[in-house]
Amino acid sequence: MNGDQGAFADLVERHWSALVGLARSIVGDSAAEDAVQDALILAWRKLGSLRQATAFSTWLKRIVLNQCLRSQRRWLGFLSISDIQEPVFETDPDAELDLARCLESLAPRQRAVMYLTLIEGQSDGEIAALMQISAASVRSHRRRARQRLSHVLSGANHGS
Amino acid sequence: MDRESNDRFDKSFEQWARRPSATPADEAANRLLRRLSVDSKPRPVARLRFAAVATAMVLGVLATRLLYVGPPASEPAFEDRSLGELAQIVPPPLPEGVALIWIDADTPLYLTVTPPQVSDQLQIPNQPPTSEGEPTP
Repeated sequence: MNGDQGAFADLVERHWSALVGLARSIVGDSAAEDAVQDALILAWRKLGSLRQATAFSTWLKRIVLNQCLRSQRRWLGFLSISDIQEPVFETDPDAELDLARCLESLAPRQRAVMYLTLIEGQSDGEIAALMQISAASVRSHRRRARQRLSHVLSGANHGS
Repeated sequence: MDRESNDRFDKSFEQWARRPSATPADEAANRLLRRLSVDSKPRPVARLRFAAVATAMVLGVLATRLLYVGPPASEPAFEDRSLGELAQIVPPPLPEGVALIWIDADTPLYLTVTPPQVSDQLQIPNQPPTSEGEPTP
């Protein structure tokens, strides 16, 4: 059991950054690492359900994703991204972007789709398989996310 | 959403999302190992599932019985019972030689049975004398 736990921990170490990035996009900075740790405990218990060792990365990511979405439902969908302290508009300091407000305007699934699209560069089919939804749903989430962001950013531009 | 706004958001989001985690990966793995060692007790999932299934079956049987069979039939009122039923339901603590007959639901009749010695003294006509060994008619 200890050897298996060690091997599992090695795999976790390899995927830790990617998992935290995904969790962060859904539940925010302060809760991301705890959410991933809880999901990893769950994954350890469900290790017997993993059918293909080569699918470990996707399988693990799916558990983290579902755990984060479940936790968001319990928190009534509020995203605590207000803990973003440092500015993230280093490339264009004249165009301030309230990233926290942008992300808070999105639903958790929309944030997940945007992360998987922009940061991990996954295709609609890959995202659909991971989130266990249709590719059409993935495109719908992304389209609505862009619409919400446009609304938030246009409101910010008018206000400045 | 215009292209410029799209690009601004995408760049900012990428910068934010690609920041390293607060906890290094090796430290996170060690923390996970500590939690796994604490959590290594086998969870009685199978027993809980069995108990849940058994409970569901019992509830299903009870619900089926109530829905399709109905509640147990209530006993009829005392005055609606037959005399035979009354005799069976209410066995009186009668002394020896006493019989109880119900005239109706409200009227019991107690009879005292005369012992054999008394009937001999009554001199019943045409009654053959009993001898030892023969059954009494």
